[in-house]
Amino acid sequence: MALIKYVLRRLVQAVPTLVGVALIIFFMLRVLPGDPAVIIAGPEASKEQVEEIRRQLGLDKPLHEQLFLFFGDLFRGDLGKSARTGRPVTVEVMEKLPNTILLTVMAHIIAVPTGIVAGVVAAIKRNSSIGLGITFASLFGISMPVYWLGLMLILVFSVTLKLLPAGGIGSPSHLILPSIVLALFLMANIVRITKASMLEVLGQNFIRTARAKGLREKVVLYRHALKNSLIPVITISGIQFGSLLGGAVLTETVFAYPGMGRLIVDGILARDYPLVQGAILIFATLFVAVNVVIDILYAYVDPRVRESLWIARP
Amino acid sequence: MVHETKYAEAWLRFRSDLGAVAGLVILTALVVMSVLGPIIVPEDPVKTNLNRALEPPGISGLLGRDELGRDILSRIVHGAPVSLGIGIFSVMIGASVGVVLGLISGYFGDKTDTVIQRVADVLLSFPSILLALSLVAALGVGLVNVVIAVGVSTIPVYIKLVRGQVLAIKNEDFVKAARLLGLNSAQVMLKHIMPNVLPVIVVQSTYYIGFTILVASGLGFLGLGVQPPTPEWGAMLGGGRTYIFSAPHILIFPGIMIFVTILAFNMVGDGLRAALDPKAPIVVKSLRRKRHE
Repeated sequence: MALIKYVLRRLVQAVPTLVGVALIIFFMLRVLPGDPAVIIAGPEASKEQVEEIRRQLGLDKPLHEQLFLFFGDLFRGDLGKSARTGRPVTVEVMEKLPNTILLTVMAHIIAVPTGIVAGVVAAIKRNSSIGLGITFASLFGISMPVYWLGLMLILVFSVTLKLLPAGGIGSPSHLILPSIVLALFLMANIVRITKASMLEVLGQNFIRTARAKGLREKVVLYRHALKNSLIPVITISGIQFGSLLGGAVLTETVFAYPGMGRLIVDGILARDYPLVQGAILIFATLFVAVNVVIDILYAYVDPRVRESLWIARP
Repeated sequence: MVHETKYAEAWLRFRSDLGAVAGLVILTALVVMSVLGPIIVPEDPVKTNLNRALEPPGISGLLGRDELGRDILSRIVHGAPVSLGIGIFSVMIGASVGVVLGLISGYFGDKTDTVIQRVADVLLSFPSILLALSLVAALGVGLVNVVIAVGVSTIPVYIKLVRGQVLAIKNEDFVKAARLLGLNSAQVMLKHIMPNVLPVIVVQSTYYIGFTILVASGLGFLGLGVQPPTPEWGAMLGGGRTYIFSAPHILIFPGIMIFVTILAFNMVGDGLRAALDPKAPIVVKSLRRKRHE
């Protein structure tokens, strides 16, 4: 019962955040020094052409009027039409969104279990060569630019060995390289968080108590320590989901994979402002939604947080 | 005084950390390369020579030539100050704004706090590269806009980080005493709170210089960052991408430079965090003791 209440409250709390997100996107494209109309028209356009584009985008109206129109359209689920293709932005986005979700889900399936296992090993055996090896590999993983890793994998597996397609979409084999690239990046992060969290938990009193009770080391490690150290891993993987979406922007470009990231990048390159605005809005909304789910999961898993959240939150 | 001993101890810990020292050596090499490299390198990094385009390493120049016949070694060396500059300046933007807002938010609390925190929450709802992308979409591409965009995308994390630290110490006796002595809010924040928050900021900024270089190089790769002919490593990869089948050497070396630079900042960051966080070694020690018993 209390959990349902918390879920509802958390959902309600997300509303002002989403309004804030929409406001920021609205003002970013209208108030900041760069003028979309001038950028769209290009450097050689005449004043009249710029004015014409401004009128088409509705940028000639007073700001407060634009704001009302923007939110009015938003509530009706209308994100406008792509300047390039003339199709509704929602249609464009919904075509590409499943591809990006597929990619990030694949990356999670590969990275979360392996990352947690490797992180635990790195913590327990931190002074052995295997522990140090994992720690070092994870440092490599977080420092590697994902797009470069993608290029190098294409070089090895597509250009040299001719085993996998270099890009595009169509068969499951097209998914292998992009999901591995994203997964390695995510895995490196999960290893580092799991290791740090595990080490912190191992230093706490209840672990000492468990050992003093004479419990076997395995029971102490897996039943007492691991359970508690996974809690931060959940929260962080929520935040990581964001950087994963970011990583998807680059990975999709490298592998010519038709997802949200490429849609946004192509939109910016083609100066398709309605598309960029709508796609970023949906992307950010997705991120907010994931964080709400993570928060709820977090409260569900950790009784301490659960209680403090229910009591302390105004 | 107290802080000086603390930093001396931290330096001792940092020095005994092999990874941290290795990172520091790499960073020093990069700085030396940024300062001296452009004087030493054989060629003008932006001079094109289409007759010699895509020449592999060894034939001319150590690392070969790119799609426009420019010497890759010269471009890589000239790219070092560009990337380091982007990292340092964008972190300066993010840290200065974020730290001030975080201090104010934590110290004054109340409505000021609520407003600043809501704005930070909203900014955190954008994955950082997406925020940087949106800002670039609005401001336009180019070196300065990239620094601003990437710098701004780090602000909310600094706000959260500093605020948390301030909340943890603002009710300590030494802060209360400073206030009772008649110091005004700005003085208390700068002289008594700031020194205690500084280690966290230093660690975060070290990681963030690496991170901002990574994001900026990603923007460069997408064609939305530093524009050619400026030799930025990410943009070099973006420009050479189509030649992956015919001249892969274009793609290998700029990527290695980005990787090594970010690795170095992460290594130093890890070292600083372990050295400046007095809790870390105690945990390790107590664990070791337990094992021996």
